[in-house]
Amino acid sequence: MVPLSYYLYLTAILFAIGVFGVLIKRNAVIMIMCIELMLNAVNLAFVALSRYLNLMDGQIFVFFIMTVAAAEVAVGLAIVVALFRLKETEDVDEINLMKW
Amino acid sequence: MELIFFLILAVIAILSALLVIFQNKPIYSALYLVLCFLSIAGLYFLLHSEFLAIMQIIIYAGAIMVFILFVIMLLDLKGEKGTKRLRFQRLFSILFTLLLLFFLIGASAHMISESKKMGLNSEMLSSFGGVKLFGKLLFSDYLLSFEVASVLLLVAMIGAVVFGKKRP
Repeated sequence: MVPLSYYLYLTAILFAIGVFGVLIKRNAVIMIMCIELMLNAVNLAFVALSRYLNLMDGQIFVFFIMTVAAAEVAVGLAIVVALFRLKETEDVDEINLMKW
Repeated sequence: MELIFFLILAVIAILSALLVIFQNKPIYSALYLVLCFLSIAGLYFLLHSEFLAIMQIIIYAGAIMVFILFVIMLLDLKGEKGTKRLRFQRLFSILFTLLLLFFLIGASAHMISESKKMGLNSEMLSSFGGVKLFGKLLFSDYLLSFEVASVLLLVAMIGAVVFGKKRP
């Protein structure tokens, strides 16, 4: 059996890549994709821990996280489409209607 | 043997996750993200969570990514064209990410690595990760959360429709 820590290291690396993507990318759709990447890293940690602790509850959590991720993507992309219709851009730096 | 499969899948996942970030065109990032999700589904299979692996393929690699691809094609997004950034943005991003990675790995290293035999008894253990046990838990202990999740999906659907509607 693969040691639990290997899974957790992989999870940490994937999560950090997701955070880095959100910080460095200015394209709204790619930022949403990076958020999905972070959610997946957390899911992987849940599944690995539930496997090693022999508890099913972690998997139920993953199920609900998937539900929330689906809802989040639906609303997020709808906002991106609405913004694109309004400002013809998907660059988050140019979206500053509520800033000043 | 299991370790070899794990290493292959982990390397694919990390490489495709990096490629998601370092692509200029959103459509290529989306395709690499599908590859990343599929390798994570393979890791779920490795962890004997067959039901979640199938859900991962259907929901993430299927539904969500098709949705994102639809939006990318609909909006005709162009790649990033060196827009002006905040000062030192790249430097601070790298520093913050390295700090985060350091803390996360440090926290993981403290985890107990041997499995504690708690929770399920041996009879239930054989059906671990299967649909039967999953459904039994979902409709007994987690019934309320299940119902709330259905309401959440309804609200998200209505919200998406409202955002997508043309302004009068």
